[in-house]
Amino acid sequence: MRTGFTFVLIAALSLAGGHAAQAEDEKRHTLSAFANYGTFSASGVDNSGRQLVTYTQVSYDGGNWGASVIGTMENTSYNTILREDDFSVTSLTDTAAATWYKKEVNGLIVRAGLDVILPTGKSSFSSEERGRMIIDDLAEDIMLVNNHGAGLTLRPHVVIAGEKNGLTWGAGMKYQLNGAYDPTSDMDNDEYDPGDVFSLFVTGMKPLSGGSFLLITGAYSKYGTDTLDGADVFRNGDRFSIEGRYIRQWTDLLKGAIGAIFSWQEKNDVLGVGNSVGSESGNSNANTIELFGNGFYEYADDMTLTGAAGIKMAAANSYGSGEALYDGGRRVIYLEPGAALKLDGDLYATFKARYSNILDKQDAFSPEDATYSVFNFEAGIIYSF
Amino acid sequence: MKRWAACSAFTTVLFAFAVIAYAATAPIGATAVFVKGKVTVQAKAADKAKRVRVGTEFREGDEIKTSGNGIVEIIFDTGDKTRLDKNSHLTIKTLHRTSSGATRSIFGMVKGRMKSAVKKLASKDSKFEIHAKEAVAGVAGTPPFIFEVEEDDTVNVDLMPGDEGRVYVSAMGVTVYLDPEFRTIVHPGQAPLEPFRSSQERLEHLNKVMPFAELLKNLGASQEDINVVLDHLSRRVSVPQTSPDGTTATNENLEHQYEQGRGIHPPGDGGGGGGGGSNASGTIIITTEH
Repeated sequence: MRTGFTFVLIAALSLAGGHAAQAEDEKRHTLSAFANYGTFSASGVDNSGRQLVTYTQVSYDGGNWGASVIGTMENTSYNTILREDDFSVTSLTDTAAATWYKKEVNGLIVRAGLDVILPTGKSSFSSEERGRMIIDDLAEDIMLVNNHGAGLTLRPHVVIAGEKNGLTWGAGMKYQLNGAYDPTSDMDNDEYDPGDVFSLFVTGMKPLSGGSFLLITGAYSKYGTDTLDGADVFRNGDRFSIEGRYIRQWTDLLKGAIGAIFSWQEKNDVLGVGNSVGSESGNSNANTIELFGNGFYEYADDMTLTGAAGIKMAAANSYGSGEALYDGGRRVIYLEPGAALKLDGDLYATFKARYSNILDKQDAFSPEDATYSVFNFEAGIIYSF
Repeated sequence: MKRWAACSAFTTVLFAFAVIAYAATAPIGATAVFVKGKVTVQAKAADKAKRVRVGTEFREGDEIKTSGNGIVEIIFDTGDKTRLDKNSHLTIKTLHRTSSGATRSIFGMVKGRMKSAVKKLASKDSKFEIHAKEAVAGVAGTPPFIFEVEEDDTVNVDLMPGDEGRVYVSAMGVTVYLDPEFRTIVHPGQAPLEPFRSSQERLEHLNKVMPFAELLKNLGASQEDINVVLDHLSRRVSVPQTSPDGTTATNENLEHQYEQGRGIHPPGDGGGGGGGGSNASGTIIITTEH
């Protein structure tokens, strides 16, 4: 993987350079920078923390092709109920470079590209540090970034879209080649190689009366087997989801969507008797359902108010209470008002504040139910040129 | 009695003149057939602009403005059509038929870009012209042409591919004629450049960014809808790009980047399922009005 990195990067950049010439009268470049500060605290358990994330993206959209680079810096600090000492990290995370090309073929639009995620993050921690990290699925809802770094990742992808009999449809797939990395800084012979991931998406969009649309999307992901020092150790179960959105221009100035997502995952394969990987006895993955709404209101020519709200419920997994892998599930309610201000013709500022209330049921990491309050504040600048 | 008779006669004559004047200059009908985003129109006598919707009718003296996401297509009862692009400001200076049957469609372009498809004009006295600060362009039965006024008042005129027809462009007392697939540029204070051939990339780009949506609808296709679906899926398979107008949700910028390793932890840490973060704050798809 590493020896092929330089070739792949050059190929991606060469592919970008060889595309159709851009038009001279559109603002094709976008430079954006954001800062997001989040805090969380729990009642019922001693678990609190904060995270500051600053991220920057530079992108180019040439109409028929495009490229972008996004880099992120994080400062994360929290404590957990399992350890006395805090976990903290200040580091770049992995940097993503993406390129894509779009072409019309026989009435269909085809968009293909390659993402390269460079291992600029911190992927190696001491065993002691790893012991202080939150690895519960809860981490995804209390922090914006909870993967601090991994190996080199390549992700080729393709999307096709077309229209037939009044239905606009699309299909997309990506194949994520995950590179190996050493997760511990104080142990030998533990190179970890996450399994590759194949994902498939299909969507259909149907116009309804009154200028509204119904959008249905199905997704499927298949995971390869993770290895540790060359030996199989784990495989995520196949994952499925179905999502429906109703999109509408409610008034002259207000447009938005309401929707629902249901997802489920098959049993993982885990290390069992005789050091072989096999299906786990229960299913440690919970079904989730999320109901949400989001919208935009044109308050003034130079100000758009944004908003998102929703509720997500993860059910208990199929292990029994008291078993090591039992997770009672959780419920997340969130609200995110915001605004986008047009400062100049091509310069925008954005502001968002998000509040999440999370009821986390008891599990192997938390013997009691706990309620988390999570606050996020974000400001950003976006400039097109 | 004599005074009353004189007043009646005078009123009758005035009325007759009014009827004759009205009959002489019948307005040309103009209706919005496609609207996207924010488009407003302000009548000459009005003190407030109103929102344009499909079906809105336009008159002589109307001032039309499109916002950063606004597009409007107008069909005239002469059979001509025009598309006003985003961030444009257009005044309908003249829009009527004369008593001899000639059509006069004259527009003032303050800024922005418009694409027009004009059928063969009714007579030699007919006009379809666009006036900008630095140039005037006119046409008589041509393929679609695109007239653009930049921020510094530079004017670009492109005549799209087609079988026949010419567009004339005048500035500083000099007039040039464009054949199909030719263009000219008028820099402030200068005469139009000698017409030169548009590049294939430019013609393809102009066709792509300024299609006639009404035509696409009649063909049963919606390029806008296809692009919406394409963008919706692209954000799921690749690193999403920040929207220039700041309406991209926070998580969306980072979710995909950090997908690698999600739920996959080195053994010894307790493992973990492949849980999913919230996708709900992701893509919002803007409704197009048809």
